[in-house]
Amino acid sequence: MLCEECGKNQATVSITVTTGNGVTTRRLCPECTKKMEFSLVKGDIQSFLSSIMSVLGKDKEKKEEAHEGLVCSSCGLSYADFEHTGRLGCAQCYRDFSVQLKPMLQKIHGRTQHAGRSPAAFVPDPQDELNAKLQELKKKMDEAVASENFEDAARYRDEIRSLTQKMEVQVSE
Amino acid sequence: MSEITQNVVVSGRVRLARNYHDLPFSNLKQPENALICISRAREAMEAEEDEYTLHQLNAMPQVERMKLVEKHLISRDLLNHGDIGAALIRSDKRVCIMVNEEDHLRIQSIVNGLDLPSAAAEAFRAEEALERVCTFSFDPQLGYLTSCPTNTGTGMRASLMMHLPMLTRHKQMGNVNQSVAKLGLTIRGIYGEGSEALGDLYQVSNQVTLGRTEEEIIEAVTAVGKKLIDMETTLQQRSMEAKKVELTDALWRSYGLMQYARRMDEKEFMQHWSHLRLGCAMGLFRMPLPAVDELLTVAQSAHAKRYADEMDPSLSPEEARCEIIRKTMKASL
Repeated sequence: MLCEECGKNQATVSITVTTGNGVTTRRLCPECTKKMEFSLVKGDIQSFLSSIMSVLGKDKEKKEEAHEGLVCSSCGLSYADFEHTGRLGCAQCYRDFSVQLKPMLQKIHGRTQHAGRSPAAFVPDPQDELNAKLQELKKKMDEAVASENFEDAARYRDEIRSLTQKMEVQVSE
Repeated sequence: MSEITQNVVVSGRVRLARNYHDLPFSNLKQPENALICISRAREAMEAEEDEYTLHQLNAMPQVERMKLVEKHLISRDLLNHGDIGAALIRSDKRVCIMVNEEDHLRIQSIVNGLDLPSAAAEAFRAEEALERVCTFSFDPQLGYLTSCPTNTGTGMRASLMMHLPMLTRHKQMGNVNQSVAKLGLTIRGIYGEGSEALGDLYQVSNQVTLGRTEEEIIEAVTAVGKKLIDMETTLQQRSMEAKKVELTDALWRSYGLMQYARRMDEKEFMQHWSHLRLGCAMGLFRMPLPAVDELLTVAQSAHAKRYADEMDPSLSPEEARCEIIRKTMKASL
């Protein structure tokens, strides 16, 4: 799972905060944990707590704004209910809540493209497959840039270019 | 299965979460849809060569439901769906399909040792049979859609039940947990509450289900399983060399209590069971490991209560447990 603070590194530490609104657990990477611990080491508990609370508060405000009135068009489950139970109501929930679910799936699994088996009756759409490949290449290119591996990044860029051209040809056909 | 593997791995398991494409998920608890799920699953498995028996929870006494939990055939969560929950169990008890738990179907396959590929093959065979009656909810990008986003993708949980008394004794489980988390896996105690791991029994399983193939998941869990076997075995050997009397004394004391005690609660039983299993794995006691592992099921509370009901209603479950332990030990020697 990726760090909930920076979204870049692997989360290895869980911090549980109990507030009037209940218990919240945040999963952080060592670097972000260190930043929070630093305020503690300085003896500044208030700043340590407020650094957590501000993040939680920001999240909460943002969430409430974006999710207000969001309801699944098929089963009628509200996004607020899902936040409360952690369980979705039907397959349509995945589509109607996709904006909210995608970052969540990324946090949980580190990826958002299925790589495993598919039902026997499922016939893959070639455009979907190319799209998936494109996303994967983009991700690899970003990773290569981040680790200053520019040779690989250039190779991924060329592959992305040729794939995009291929997709455009398919669409025009 | 090699002897060393058997010494540490109690069992392996693969679970697949699946939902029918045309019905809302089970957590909405709609009885009419729950009945459709049960009837589809039954129809699918009736057409199979293997013999499956349908257990509908609402038609079973509480103690019988608990016995299925103690046998690890159904989950405690299915009990929470008691009014609509059901299970189709294959006659050899190696495959079980839970219906109307959190997802419409939870297909589980159990094997001895590390053979997770065989467990997966059996689970896929049952899945294919179920799919012939009605297709599953699937999205090309997200894979199999499940009630909880933590299962989305393959819907697969591959796990190993491992007995790690020495790693626990040497307080290594915290480090182990941190290391496996980096691989998208998790390790937790199976019995007991919170951070307790009664009987030193742990479940190693994948946490990530999306973006990895089923083979990759199985490989990762197997690799960690093998590493843990190595670590546990090495610690066992070192302890035998360095602290032989201290260790064997503790194990023999537990052996004596298992043979002669007349009343034992679950917590105490799990502690001595762990010593008994370790002693057998190290060649100290002659009891075969499958018999020791059987105790883990037949000496649990619901089984003990059922035993008392049938044999002697004046026995408390704690007393019945000791009778069961004695009988099982005697029969195995």
